[in-house]
Amino acid sequence: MTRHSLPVRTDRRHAPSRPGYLPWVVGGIALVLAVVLGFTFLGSGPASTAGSDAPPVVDVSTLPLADTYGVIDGAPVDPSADAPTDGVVVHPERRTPVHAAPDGVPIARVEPTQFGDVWFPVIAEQGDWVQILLPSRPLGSTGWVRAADMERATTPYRVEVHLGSMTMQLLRDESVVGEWTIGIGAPDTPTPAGRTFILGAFTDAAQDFSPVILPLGTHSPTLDTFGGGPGTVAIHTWPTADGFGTAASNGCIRVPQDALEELVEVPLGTLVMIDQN
Amino acid sequence: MRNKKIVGAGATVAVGATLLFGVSPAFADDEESFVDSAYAISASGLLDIDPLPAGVESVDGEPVSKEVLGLGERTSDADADGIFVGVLNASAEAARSETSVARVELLDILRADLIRTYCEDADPDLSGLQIVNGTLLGQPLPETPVPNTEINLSPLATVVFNDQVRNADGSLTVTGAELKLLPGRDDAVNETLDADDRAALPILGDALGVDLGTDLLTENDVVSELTGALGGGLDEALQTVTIGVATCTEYVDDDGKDDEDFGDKGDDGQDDADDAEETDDADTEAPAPTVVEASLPVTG
Repeated sequence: MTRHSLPVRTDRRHAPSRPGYLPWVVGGIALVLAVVLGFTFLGSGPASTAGSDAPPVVDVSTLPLADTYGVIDGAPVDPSADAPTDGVVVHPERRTPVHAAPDGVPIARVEPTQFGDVWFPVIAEQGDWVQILLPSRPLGSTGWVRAADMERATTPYRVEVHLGSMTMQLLRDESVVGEWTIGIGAPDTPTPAGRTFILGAFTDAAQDFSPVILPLGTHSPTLDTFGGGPGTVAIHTWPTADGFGTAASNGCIRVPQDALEELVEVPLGTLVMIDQN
Repeated sequence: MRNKKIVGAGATVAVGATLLFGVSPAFADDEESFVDSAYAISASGLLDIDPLPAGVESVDGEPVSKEVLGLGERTSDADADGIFVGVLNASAEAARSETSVARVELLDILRADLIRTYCEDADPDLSGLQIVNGTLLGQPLPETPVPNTEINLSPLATVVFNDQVRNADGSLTVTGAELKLLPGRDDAVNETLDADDRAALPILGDALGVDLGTDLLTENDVVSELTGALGGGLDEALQTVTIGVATCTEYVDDDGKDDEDFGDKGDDGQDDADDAEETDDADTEAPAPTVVEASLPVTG
């Protein structure tokens, strides 16, 4: 399993002033020892299977994590890769399983955070379930989650990337509010067409070509890995003018600085539609 | 620290294992059994404790409840090093489970008059945690912590309250409080120990039977010493103590359908308020990203 470091979750967390903690650790261990002695005295046996022949509850933590590193076998492929959505996005409020269909088999799990909070675009709804785009391989992966586990919101924005004309349009409420010439993937490392979304925003000193990088929920179709990463496609700027109006990247979308400044203000989960036009 | 022996009697009392055959045709007709369950306390790590009370599992709605009376020795409020866990209760029935621990005194780390963890209808809005007069390191705790509240005491210990996880079968599991010692050795955090910490290392070593000197500088140094001495690959937390775990399934009515109104206590208008809130949420614009530091090579 791929190991990676993600930002420490900071929401709903508060850190009191740090006391000299080792005494508490010592105390905690002593407590455990004492409690164990007490419970050993009780002679308790295994409880998890006592008195029941029912099937065990599947541990969600054993399902593959649907993040940018994930590979989700059995994930339904996006059925309408060229259709815009109505802008509904959802955020998992807790660790939640992802299913192949409503009430179907679990295939993955989502967590509340990846690069900070994560929001997924909703592409379909059925009863108490919503179908979301996943940021994992294979390309176009989707899955169904319970709406009850999701915080629901909207985004008025949509990003359209036209590979043929090497242009990007930012739409708000179906009106174009920004348009730029961009750089796209080279012919042997193309930018993948289809629907994806803005997964987060991060800085990385090792990638100084852009002050901020906006990872998308899609990957290079030709590079299984890149630089130690999983081949994540991103939107970012480029330090030289030859980065725009050319097909020279390894799949990422290079945008001018003013475009980046606008895109970082676009809500998480905003749909990014990449076509060949 | 005084060495106090837990002397509580282990009286396990089953108070309500009433089997109600045919209580609901839906249960009898289901091809797969469903289980609601709860337990009050467990521990894992260097030393493992199976969940207590044991076997509180309601199969297909069968009501089950148990309690364990009096573990430990009650101390005065001024005595910070006492260990006492009061009555351990756990119960489960169709679409409901609950567990409580009365009078928790885990040294002065976590103290409370009551810690109650409950789960209903697999609904996060109906499930949660209640802490009565709780304190953590002497600081007061909220009576109803919001889900997934994590308090980071240091890289060496964390406490998570009201952790809620959706299970693959649709059931919900609520964990009231989970204390982890040395929890984060795989999170790339390696905090430097200050003078007070280093001075306490020999005491920590004595507790574990490991010789720990005062010359260790970081958390990882401590972990390395413990890993070598204890002969284990400490991939998980050194020790975890869990108080209150309740798992519940979704209520199914006699027609085999989910009951959306299950859990509502009469027509108090709350439904309408909730519906209105959901509508408001749906109209809310999602947040823009917060720029974080990360290391992810992209296909630049």
